[in-house]
Amino acid sequence: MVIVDDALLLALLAEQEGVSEALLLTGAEDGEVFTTGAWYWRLARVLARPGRGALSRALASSSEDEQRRVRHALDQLPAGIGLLSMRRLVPVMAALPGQLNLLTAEAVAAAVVLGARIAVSTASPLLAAAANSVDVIVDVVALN
Amino acid sequence: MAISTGDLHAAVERARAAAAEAGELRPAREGKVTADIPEAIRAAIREDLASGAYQQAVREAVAGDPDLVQG
Repeated sequence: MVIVDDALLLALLAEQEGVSEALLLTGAEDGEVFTTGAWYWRLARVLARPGRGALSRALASSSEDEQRRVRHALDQLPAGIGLLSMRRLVPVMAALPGQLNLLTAEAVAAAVVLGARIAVSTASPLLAAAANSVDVIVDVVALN
Repeated sequence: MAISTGDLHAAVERARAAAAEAGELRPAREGKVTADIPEAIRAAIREDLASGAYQQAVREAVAGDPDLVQG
């Protein structure tokens, strides 16, 4: 089982070649991918803002119906992605050692509860240190 | 008050039991993750991820919100 960050979640939705295979190497079978509320919220915040990237340009050249369909598809977390509720996680987050921000505490707590690894798209020293303190493994899966 | 390893273990066991009872320990549907997105849009997303445009957009979107920083 593996918990993915927002960029890996987006890469999965875009069916980016190699990402599913890389996650399999971390021990995740199909149906064993989770994310967190903070990572889902980061992705939603990016998608809700007018951007300057290729996605914004592609959407701008799409019909209104297609834009609506794409935004709906990206807004909804697919049923194949698991998400633990904060009702379960907050007591675990509060018991973790150290002063952690919301994103880090939620990810590490979810990993401990699920017995999962964490996969991130870029090295994250604070997250790695917090995870290491409770024997959670963090893998870096590069996207380029 | 310092948190002990025992406190963490107990909190994890309670969370795991409650999540299992609620059916949250597995995603609602198994199998490959799919989303209804046209290929042209998927290609644009992949371009943004590879070029760093997505990561820059995240930095701008979470600026001033330390709880969403992945440090």
